[in-house]
Amino acid sequence: MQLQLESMNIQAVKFGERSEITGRTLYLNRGDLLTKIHDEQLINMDIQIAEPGESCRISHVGDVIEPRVKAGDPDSTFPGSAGKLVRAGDGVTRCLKGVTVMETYQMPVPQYSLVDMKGNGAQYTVFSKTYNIVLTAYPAEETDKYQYAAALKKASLALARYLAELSLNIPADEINIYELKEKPGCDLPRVVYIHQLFSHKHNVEPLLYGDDCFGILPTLVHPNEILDGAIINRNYEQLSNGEATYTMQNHPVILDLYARDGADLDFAGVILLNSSSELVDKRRSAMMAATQAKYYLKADLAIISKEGGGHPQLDMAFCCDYLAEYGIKTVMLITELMTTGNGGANESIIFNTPNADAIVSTGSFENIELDEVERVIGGDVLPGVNGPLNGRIVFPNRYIRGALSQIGDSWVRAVEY
Amino acid sequence: MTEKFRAVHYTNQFFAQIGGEEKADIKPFIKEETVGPGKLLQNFLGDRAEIVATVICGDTYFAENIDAVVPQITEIIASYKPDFVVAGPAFASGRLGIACGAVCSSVMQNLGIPALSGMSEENPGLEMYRKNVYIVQTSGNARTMGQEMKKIADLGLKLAGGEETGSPEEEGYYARGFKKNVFCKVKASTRAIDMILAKYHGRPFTTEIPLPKFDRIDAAEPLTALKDARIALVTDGGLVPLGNPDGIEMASATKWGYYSIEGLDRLEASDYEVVHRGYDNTFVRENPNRLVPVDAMRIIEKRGMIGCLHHHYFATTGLITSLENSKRMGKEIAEKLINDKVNGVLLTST
Repeated sequence: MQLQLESMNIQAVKFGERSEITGRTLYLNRGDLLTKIHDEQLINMDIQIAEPGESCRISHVGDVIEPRVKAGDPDSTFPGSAGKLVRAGDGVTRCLKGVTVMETYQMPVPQYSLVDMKGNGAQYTVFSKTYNIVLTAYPAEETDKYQYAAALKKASLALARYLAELSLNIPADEINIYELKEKPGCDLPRVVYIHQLFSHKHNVEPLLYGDDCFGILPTLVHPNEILDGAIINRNYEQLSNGEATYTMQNHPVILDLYARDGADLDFAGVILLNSSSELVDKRRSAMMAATQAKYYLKADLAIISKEGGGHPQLDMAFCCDYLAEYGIKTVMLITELMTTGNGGANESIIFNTPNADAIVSTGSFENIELDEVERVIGGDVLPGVNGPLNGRIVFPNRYIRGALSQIGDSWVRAVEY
Repeated sequence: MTEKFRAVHYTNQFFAQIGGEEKADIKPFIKEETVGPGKLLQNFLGDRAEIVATVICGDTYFAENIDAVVPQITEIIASYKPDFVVAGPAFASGRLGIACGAVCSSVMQNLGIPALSGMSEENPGLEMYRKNVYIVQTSGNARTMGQEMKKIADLGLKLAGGEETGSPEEEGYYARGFKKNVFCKVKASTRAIDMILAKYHGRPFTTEIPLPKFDRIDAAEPLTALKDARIALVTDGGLVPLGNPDGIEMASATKWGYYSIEGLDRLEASDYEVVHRGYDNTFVRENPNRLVPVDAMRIIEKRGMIGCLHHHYFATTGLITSLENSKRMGKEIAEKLINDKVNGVLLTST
């Protein structure tokens, strides 16, 4: 299985007469694209552009997706979730770098996310540095939230695919090959990456080849499958707890492991599990994952990450214990749940197995002061925000899309003082 | 910053070389010069600061008259208009540690002047005051005072000058229990790989989140006479009367409520709401008895299986509640339960 990711570095995005890429500028014909992604359950659809450095705030942010297309078979892009079901991770995939499709979610949810392209808030999110093609669509009459979410997801994935398709006949700027090669005689430590999904109900789910993963047991997957769109985020109701599709497509742990594969480690593979609500289910998953890691992946070391909130920390702790039984050492990635400024080191995690002696912080919750902006896309009013949405507001970092990433694309960590 | 800072030093009868235990009852007095460890402190302060006075008090006198002595000493210190105050170091000495903590705390609160101290890890004054007062790490006795005093001097000068202090590791003080996010040069995924490889190769590494220490609490004795027992319902599922009269928070709760169920055979959905935001509360909102089972308990009560169902239920939100607040609320609720002569509790959670 070999993934050949061919990337084009887009340097500007504008509206134009035709949807095309000229030089490194992406032109969008709004009407054309909206027609292509039309869906009866979505009305008042619009596309807008938010540029890095622009005094612009995008509100009601949902998922964020990097434009990609399977070069040989565009209809199989994002297999299972949007495209026809084929194996992800093999062959040529075209990618537009520096651009995202950014959904806005227009139904009531407990929490809303935002992205600031300029000002104090911009430094906290990776999405202030990308051209965000913001898709706004509203539910048609008699469309319930599950239908709306499914329709929005299909539309945004379709848009991501169509944009990438525009690059198909243009030579790429960069080509990266991802392949797990056999390494006979290699004595580097074998590393398995274990990722806990959080999937318990619709609209709070990552999709694996279109499946909601509710009852899955530990599942071996190839890292390329994750890089190539097998996992799509459809979590709209607990936005801070789910990883954006974009981050999965650019999975930091997987990319880092590939970068060092053969140098100081031997990348053994990936195991996916779902966090469970019952203790017995947590134990079962952890136990089985450990066996897979030991006997099928022959791992020496494991990196564990999660989605979701506090509960899934227990699943991780059980993983550590079962892996330790096999002599597999572990490191965990954890977001600290306590807001900075109050509480202490003891407040961040809810387990204390001595096997969890290596933990990397993916940041702590804190309130960020966001500056006034000239333009707001995606919404006028945010519950919990007093005053106009374009004004100076204080906002929790966990609802800034792209600020905290539980899978490791985080640049902040909490320190005690 | 050419201005010379003014400092006041606080210490006890022993370090002031007045005497040992037999002099521990001396009342607070002032010497307008450096005394004992103050001389070493002055050396390290150099010409950036001058210790204009030393306040000395006997350990026993302080402990026995703390309510009067702290304001008195604070006033004395105020009269010297210092830019900062150093108390101790107390090393392992418990009474001095508590005195240093109390003096520093009062000076900071009432005079708005930075104050710091030095204590060893076992000093009881540390846990009491570390949140508010910068306390430099010292060993248990004065033998290693040299290095430690330098840290105290450096930190004192920074605080006096309003400079930003470094991390606990850099400055040598005990972490005070606050957190802030800092930007890292290397992202978390890379740090994780570096850390696991260090672990594999037996190289030293430091976990970024230390494991919590949970108290071990022994379970209460089981109820022997259930049919005579008064049972109360307690929940952390955040069920409160409509309107949330006590303003219980939706997460990180600091409060709990106590609500009458006198004469009720069941809870009616229209009278309640759920403030807890961490679970899908659809089913509880439909029928609050699913969380706070008044209906089932009344049946049990009528059948004589328990003595009676207590006339109030207790509620808070158990979502990202800090350990500290959890402990405090638990103790407060327990006290109320004891006052109300409750024998047993049915604790429901989500």
